[in-house]
Amino acid sequence: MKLHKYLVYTVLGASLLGSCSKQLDLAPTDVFSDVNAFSTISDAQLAVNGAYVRYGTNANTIYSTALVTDEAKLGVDNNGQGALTFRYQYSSDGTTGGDVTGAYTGYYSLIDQVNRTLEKLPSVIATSFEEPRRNILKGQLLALRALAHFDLLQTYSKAYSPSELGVPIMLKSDILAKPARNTMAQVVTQIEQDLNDAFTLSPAVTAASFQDTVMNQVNINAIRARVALYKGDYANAITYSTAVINSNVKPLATNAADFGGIWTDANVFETLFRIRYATGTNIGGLWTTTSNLVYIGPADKLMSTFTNSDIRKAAYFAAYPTTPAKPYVNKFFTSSRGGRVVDMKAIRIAEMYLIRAEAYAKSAAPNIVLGAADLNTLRGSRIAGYLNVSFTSAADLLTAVLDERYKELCFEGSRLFDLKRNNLPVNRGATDVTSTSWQTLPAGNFRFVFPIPQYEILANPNMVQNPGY
Amino acid sequence: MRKLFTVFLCSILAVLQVNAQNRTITGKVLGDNNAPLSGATVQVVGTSSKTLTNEAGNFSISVPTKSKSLQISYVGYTAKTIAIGKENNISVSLVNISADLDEVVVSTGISKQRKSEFTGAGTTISAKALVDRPVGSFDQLLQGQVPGLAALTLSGAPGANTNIIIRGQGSISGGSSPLYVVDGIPVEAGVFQGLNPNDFESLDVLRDAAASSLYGSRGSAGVIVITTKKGKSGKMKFSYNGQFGQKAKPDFAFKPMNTAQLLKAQEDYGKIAGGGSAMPGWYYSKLNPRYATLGPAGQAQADFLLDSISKINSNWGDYVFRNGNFSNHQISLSGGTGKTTIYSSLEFYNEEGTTPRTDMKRVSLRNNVDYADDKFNFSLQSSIAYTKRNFQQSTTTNSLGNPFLIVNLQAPTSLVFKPDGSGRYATGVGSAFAGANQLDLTRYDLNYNDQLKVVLGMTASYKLTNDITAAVTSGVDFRETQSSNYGSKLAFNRTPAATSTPTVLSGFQTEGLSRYLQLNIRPSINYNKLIAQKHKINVSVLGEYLTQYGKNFSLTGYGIDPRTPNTPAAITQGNAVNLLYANVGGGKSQNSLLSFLGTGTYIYDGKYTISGSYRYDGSSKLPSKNRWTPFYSVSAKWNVMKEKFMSNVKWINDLSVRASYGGSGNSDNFPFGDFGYLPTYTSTGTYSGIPTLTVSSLGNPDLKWETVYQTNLGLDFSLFKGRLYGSFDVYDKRTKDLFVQKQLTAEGTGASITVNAGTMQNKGAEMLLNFDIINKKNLRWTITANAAYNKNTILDLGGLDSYPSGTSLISVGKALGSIYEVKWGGVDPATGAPLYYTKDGKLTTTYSADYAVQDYGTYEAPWKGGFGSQLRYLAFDFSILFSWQEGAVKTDNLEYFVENPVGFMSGGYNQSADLNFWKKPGDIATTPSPLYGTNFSSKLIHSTNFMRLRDLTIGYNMPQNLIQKIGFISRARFFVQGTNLFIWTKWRGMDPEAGGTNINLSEFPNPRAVTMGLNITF
Repeated sequence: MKLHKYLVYTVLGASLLGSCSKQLDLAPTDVFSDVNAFSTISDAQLAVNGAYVRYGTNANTIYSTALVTDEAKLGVDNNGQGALTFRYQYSSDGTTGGDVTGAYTGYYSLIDQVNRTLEKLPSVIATSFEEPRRNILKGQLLALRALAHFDLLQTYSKAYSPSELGVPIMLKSDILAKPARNTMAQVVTQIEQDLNDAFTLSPAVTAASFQDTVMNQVNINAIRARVALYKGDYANAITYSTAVINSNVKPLATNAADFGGIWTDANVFETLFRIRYATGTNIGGLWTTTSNLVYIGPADKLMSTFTNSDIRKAAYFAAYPTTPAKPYVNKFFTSSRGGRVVDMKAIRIAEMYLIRAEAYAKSAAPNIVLGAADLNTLRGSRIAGYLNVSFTSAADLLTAVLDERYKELCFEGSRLFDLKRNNLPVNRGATDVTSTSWQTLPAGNFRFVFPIPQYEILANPNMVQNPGY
Repeated sequence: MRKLFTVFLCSILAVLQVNAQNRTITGKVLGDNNAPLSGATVQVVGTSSKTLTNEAGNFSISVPTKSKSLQISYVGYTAKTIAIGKENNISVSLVNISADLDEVVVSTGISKQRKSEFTGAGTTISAKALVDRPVGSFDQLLQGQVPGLAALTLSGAPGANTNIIIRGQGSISGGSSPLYVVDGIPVEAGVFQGLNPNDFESLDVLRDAAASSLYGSRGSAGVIVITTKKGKSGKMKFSYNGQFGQKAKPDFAFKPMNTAQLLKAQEDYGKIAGGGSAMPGWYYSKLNPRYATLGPAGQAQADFLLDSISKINSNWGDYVFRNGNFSNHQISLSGGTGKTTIYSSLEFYNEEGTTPRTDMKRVSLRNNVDYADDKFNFSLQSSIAYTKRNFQQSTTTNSLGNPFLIVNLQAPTSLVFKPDGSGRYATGVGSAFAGANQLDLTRYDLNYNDQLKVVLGMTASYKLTNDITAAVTSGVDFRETQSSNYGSKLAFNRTPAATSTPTVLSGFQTEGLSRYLQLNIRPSINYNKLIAQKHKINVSVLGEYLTQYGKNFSLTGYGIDPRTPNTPAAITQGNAVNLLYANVGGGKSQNSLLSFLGTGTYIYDGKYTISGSYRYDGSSKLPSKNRWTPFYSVSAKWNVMKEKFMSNVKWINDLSVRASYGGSGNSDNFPFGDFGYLPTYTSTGTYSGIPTLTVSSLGNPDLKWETVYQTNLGLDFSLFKGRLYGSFDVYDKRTKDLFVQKQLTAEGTGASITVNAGTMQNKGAEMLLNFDIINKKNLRWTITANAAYNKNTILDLGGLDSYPSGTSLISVGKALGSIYEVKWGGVDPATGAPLYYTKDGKLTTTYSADYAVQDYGTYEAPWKGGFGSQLRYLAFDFSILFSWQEGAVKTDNLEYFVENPVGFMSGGYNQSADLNFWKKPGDIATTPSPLYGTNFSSKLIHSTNFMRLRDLTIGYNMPQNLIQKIGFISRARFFVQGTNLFIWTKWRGMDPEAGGTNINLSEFPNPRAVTMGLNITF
């Protein structure tokens, strides 16, 4: 009887204290935390905006890849900016390798923002009118995650080789993560998965409804075309690039004024995806300061490939009328907003023609005619009085396509990956270097693969550094 | 059923008793000072027969002839058993528990234990050392009194709190402040201006795991337990304590140059390096090549100016310092009859600081009520205090608003007052006017806070059976602080000559309010049993719920008309024209703690004691997966003297050996706020003008407490009939899961956050000695001394060797606070160039921060202690207390200013009279030639060892015969007291103990005080 009584008291006591333990579930009242930061679909939209901002790290890729290829030379006003990188002396250490390691942190911080938002997205409140936005935002986030993983893979892994070291796949925000590197095949599979999901979730677009500042079915296909070309899936490269071209949302610019306007934000022709820089110095400032110091100039080799009848020449290059003249990169130089404020063009329609032409040339059964047609279409829109050319071999076509990529997409972060994909060396012009020590980078050299940042190696016991660093 | 049986049994016994033969014993029960105790219980041992004493303390009880003894008991006194002899009239004196030296009671805040049964390392300070001291915050009284407790007074400002560290710093980024418990209620640390130490009965400092583990997540930095006074049973006594005196201008070791010295030094400087009009001693000197270029009229003017300036010799100390008045009045009531006692006190405290515009006023009221009967115990402690403190601006900063920097930096060649007789300060732009500008701010501005603090504690217990007691303790700690700061536009620094910022020009008024509320409840059940007179068992089960709320807001408005100073009403509404937009801000937060605690003690025959505790703490401050944390402790004690084989050793009275081990957390010094584990987001970022939502603070999903595991071995002894007694302790304290900086992987955002990854060790030894040299009725002389050594070592930083933290470096293998600086190589006698050591020990004239090394020691002293003496002769009492520290160093930033002519003297500031700069080849100088600047280096690192005469008191107790003649008083004492009378130190800053950092920032020095007082009990 006594025992029974104590038992009752114990149970009573326990249940009382059990209800007390709810007192420990407190939430902050003064800040946006996990508890309240993501309440409505509008909050999620703000987080998606935050993810787009972080793709701005692609500017770093444009800068660092130009420095290590034959696109750039050190400008006359250079006093060390990017010099170690240009001279192939970069390392994994932040003080000597900041140019080449920065993108690693940048893209993963984008992925973290995406994953945080994806986690919260299913539970945010939306009215029935707003409900469709949930899938649209999810699609945009998945596409951005794919894009970030793809840029990481291109930068920090070798040319595609399915079983070799890729980069860690991050599908969940975890600040204490210590992931190992996935294989390239695994990473590509994940990228394709994200892109497929993104495509399915995104609404169909027309030329009228197309927006180049968000992820949508057209630019998702553009990324799919890039990825397919990268992994050697030429049939899909052709399929996806064709889908983008045929959507006709962004035809090629046809005259010098329209084409030049792309680079000063006078218009948004040709851009399939762009990052807005409303204020603040960005890519252009990396080459030329607002006080007109040329830190990084265009390579003589690159400039010499353009004829005067090529509308790209004036759009891409200019020179200060000093003696001798001081050439500078005119792409992303300035806009009506002043300074070096120009939106970053991340994907353009011209690239789709070049992807398709390369895929035709490299297909198991090359289609030289269609490949040449794409090349001629692009050149025709760029060069006054251009006469179409034809090719006798797929190899010739490929060489011509890669040369055209070098010209068309210079200073857009493509050259290094083009050379890597095709196992070609960097051959700089003799006048573009001060020493032959850094005139060439042999095909397949370890420096084609940028080093993983040293702090990552120290912080992550599962991380493997790239060979050579 | 059982009850019925008992009643039956009792009635049978009663019947039997009637039949037995009885005798009547009468007597008197006396307490303190031989005052009769009314309501004391007198019981015949072995029977239920008992009676209570009457108001005169007399009793009469019928005793069966077979009975052999009487037990006399009274609340607050040690019960006494007396053998019944032939006497029919006996007089019994009971000893107050707290006055009973052999049975000192240690309070852990959760339970009270006899010192002889306490297994932990604790020191009890009695009221004597705490009352009637001229300080506003009681923590200032602990220095030198407790072994292993470092108490450095951060500031000598009235009411400033003290940096208390017990057994070394246990955390890098968290703090090391102990937990404070008042009458069983944990209270907010560091806010003691609202507690009146004259109400304290005793204070226990608990240093090892045996006590700190009882507090689980909160106990790791040690526990300070305060017990306030209870009413003493008997007639209501009315007492008055009054004290008044003065706090004197501080004395400090830097002697600023006087005008003659400064002008000479300026000339010496100019001869080597030239210089401008900021150095009149050179500018108007005949040796200045400029002099020759002046015409006769110009030369006459230069001579006249130099002569005029040389006649000015302003002593800035006279204006920056003052003597501050001190007074304190307290009336208290203590008494009670039968089962209820009360203690009430009302206090008025008034202290002026030793610099203008600093003071503290306090009115405090305390009411303690205690009730006890056979079964039910109840006590209620309540205190309410209102304090107001005025502050100087900018103290403890290297800013020209800091009076303690100005007093050293302002040249004596500047006037204090305008020569027009207006009484206005001689303000202006430039170094020549910095002193007057500071005084002008002091005159016009106001900076003060008003604080209301209420501490309520209540404990009720009920004896369910003879062995089982149920109790509940609950309490409230409430503080509301209103702070005000008025910046007058009349002060020179806010006039167009000094500034053009509209908000600064217009004057400002800041009003802030912060509120802290803590609620606490702790139910418990205790089982206490003595079996067969040999086995003593005590088991308790407790629960605790504690919640803390904080809220604050502040506003700063501008455009204050000096006709309506110091009121928020004067704030001008901001608009686009006047741009005087007010700033408002604030916040609120809450945290909760829920705990279960079990304790057990087993004592065998008074010889062997083993104790254990287990506490399970849940806190809202941790992520749910780590929310609940267990803590435990085990401890044991062996009273060696109770062994038979020691019974022949006569010269040892008491010898016991203690050991304890256990863990506790550092949650009260948690550096992450209430929700630090949660990631937070901000909407302040934009994507080209479009708002975004991004992470602003990452949080830490793995966050847990820093946990200290401590081993303690101790020895208590009492020798030569109790004349020499003391204790000795050694300990090893390890902080595990120490908060250290951690670089996250890029995949985890690449940020650096603070995580639980390091280990830190504090190990040391403590000694406490008391020696009663003479112990006679009319002459009693005691010497006491304590000393402690602590060695702090960082054992692990989560894989890193070191990382910088502000200006210091945190390194594995070094003590926390180890100073990191380039080593000074002296002045090259040939060229006067400064010399520095490179890392490989070579001398160079080129300074590089890369040469910094970390082998100078730390700013926290490894050795510290105190010693003193008490003497009582007839009606006089005398006590003295010294405190000291040894082995600490600090960087003297003041020396960098006042022994650095380049930039400072050449810029018009004063220098130290000790300045000895290089003037010609061959000079052995301490400061380089004026041609060279100097950098921070080990030149500035100096010892902060000190010995301080903390307290000296001489008292006179009015003799009993005189008191009896006067009639209406029962006790009277007069005393004279000196605080901080002398300090012996080589440190040249304001005060070696001020400012708990590695650098001298011209702190408010601890004042010297001389007071007189009077205690009368009616």
